[in-house]
Amino acid sequence: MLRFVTKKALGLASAEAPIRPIQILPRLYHERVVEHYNNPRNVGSFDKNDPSVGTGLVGAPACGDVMKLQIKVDEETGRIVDARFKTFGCGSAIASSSVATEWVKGKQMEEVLSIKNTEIAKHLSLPPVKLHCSMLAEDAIKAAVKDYEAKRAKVNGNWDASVRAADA
Amino acid sequence: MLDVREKNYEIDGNNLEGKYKDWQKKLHPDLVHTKSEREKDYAAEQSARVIDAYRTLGDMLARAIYVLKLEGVNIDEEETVSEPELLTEILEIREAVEEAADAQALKQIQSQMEDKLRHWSKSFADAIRCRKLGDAVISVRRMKYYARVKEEIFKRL
Repeated sequence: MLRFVTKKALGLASAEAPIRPIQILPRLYHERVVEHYNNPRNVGSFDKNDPSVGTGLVGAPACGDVMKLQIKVDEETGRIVDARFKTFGCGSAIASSSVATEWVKGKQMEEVLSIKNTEIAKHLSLPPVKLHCSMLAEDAIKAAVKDYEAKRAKVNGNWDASVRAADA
Repeated sequence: MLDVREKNYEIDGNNLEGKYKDWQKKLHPDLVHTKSEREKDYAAEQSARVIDAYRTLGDMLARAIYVLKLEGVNIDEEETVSEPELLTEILEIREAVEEAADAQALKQIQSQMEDKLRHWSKSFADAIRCRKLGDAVISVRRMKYYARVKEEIFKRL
């Protein structure tokens, strides 16, 4: 546009010079984030006293966000059969935890420990300033697994816990 | 500028306002017509800084965060915490805010948050006085969460 204006000023613009259309402003949130925000998957709670449930509760004091992610585990196979989340925070935090619950379903517990915040961030095209939201989701997954294993250890006794640790 | 160098968190409210007015008498852009361009620019810039400082110091949480920064602790750095007691409490409060039936219910929660902010502000002051940085950080974290709840309530009112 500047070029057009200067051309005019110098009397060089032709009468038929086309006006460029106004550019559409880039969206502030990627459409995947908006999708997860409007249609969040797996919102809700499991009974945290249920022995097959692991609860991860994490927070980011910098923005006052709190995220709860729960997994339901098949005790025989160690496979995560269901997941729920409840997040109070920005759109990126909600979307990150929603994605996390989708990704952990059907996987083994050891597998989900390798889910990286960078993968979640990439999936949602999170800007750098919102990267910590995906980190919160990664930490929530780990906390949920840790909680489940701690509950199992209490129920089955230390012997079982040490066997599982050796297998991991 | 406003005597925060002593890291004295408990600033006397009246004293602060008096000092603020004094500074503004000297620096406010409207009062420096006759001065040179350079002096006017300097006054405008300093006036803005004084307003900023006054606002920061006047707000319990912002003040606490600032004092922590002076001690070399930056609470605004993004890190995850897992304090189960605090987080469970905040989760329940946020849920209550979401399910609040009317403005009355929201205002009730808001006033509870203000009580908590005052309580933890005092804890912070005690911790700073006794040089217990760990306790000070815990207090500020709590204040941050309660302030956030207040923000959410404000949006809904």
